Amino acid sequence: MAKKITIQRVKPGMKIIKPVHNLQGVALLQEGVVLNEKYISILRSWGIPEVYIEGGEETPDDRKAKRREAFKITKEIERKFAGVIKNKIMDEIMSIAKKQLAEEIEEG
Amino acid sequence: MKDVRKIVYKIENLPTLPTVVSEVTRLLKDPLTSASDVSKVISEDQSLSARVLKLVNSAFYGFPERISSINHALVILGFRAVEDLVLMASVFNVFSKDSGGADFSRAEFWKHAIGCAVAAKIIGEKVRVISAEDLFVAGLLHDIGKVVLDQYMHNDFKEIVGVVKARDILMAEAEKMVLGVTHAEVGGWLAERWGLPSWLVKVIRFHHQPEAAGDSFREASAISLADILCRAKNIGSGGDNKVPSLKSRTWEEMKLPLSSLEPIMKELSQQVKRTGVFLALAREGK
Repeated sequence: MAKKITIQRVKPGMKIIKPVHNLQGVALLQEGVVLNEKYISILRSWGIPEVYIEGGEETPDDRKAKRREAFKITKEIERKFAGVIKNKIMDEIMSIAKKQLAEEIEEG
Repeated sequence: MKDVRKIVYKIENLPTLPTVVSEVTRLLKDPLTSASDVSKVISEDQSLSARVLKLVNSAFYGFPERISSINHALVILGFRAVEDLVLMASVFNVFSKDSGGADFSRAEFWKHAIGCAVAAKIIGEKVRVISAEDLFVAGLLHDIGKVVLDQYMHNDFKEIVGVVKARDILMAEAEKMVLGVTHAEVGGWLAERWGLPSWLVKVIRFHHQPEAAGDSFREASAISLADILCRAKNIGSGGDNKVPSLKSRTWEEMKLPLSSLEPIMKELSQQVKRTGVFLALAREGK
């Protein structure tokens, strides 16, 4: 099963499952390539935001870890916003941030 | 209460921008200036040209073809955009060095600054301001006073960072307690010394109190919002870990509907992913 991950999370040893192209359409990495430091730095220097890597189904442990991370981030945002003036804009920004950060964790 | 001039007098060997920046600004004020005049001035500084071209060719701009010369960049992006890039590439070069302080990460600082630049540009496309591209530069430079303090008044700055940590307050509040002036005032002063346009000086100086920015109220408001959105979405860190308040008046000045916040914040995270080259330049300076 393929899993889409952000460039910040790629690590040597991960296997590319979909070819990666730069903006000009030139293939940078082919399907099946196993990432190493050099390949990762190529992806970074081209500003590639995400890649598809090989990965199994999400395990219950993965889900639990994600939930824990989402909870932590929610608490952290509430702490950051503690003490700001109460108005509808600040409330709205806080609730959107919570929602979007949780979604980003879900997407990996 | 110490005043900002007394503080900055302590700063020896002021950070300066290369003369090519003011030279480009001067040229662009002259309506008879041609692309080749500007390109000649920039290209004389080979390292600066290389940095500008790196930014232009980065994923952030996403041009389908490689832009290979300053002249080419001027034709495709226009004079103003290249002027902005020259300024940004020069600032990265001046301030890339890490001061070695454990509690203030220059990398996180630049991540926050670049995030603010992106957010400011997105807001600038929806609000009637000077221009979205100019707001990008303002977002990038709004906290520049922090780097000045870190680099030139390192011991005071360490104390400030300590107060921020101990009390969990905004950097500007700790600066007032320790120094009597804030990074916004120091940054505004530096921008003035560098001869940057007066709206930009005002935006830097008043990004924590936009209503004081006079005829640049709206631009300062946009930067203030950009800063808040980056903090809310954990994009880098300016050295503190709180969110400042946005007053209703500041929000109203931008005439944005409340419903625009969600797409702006979504777009922000998307675009920040493409700013790797900016971050690399900011960290390495070359």
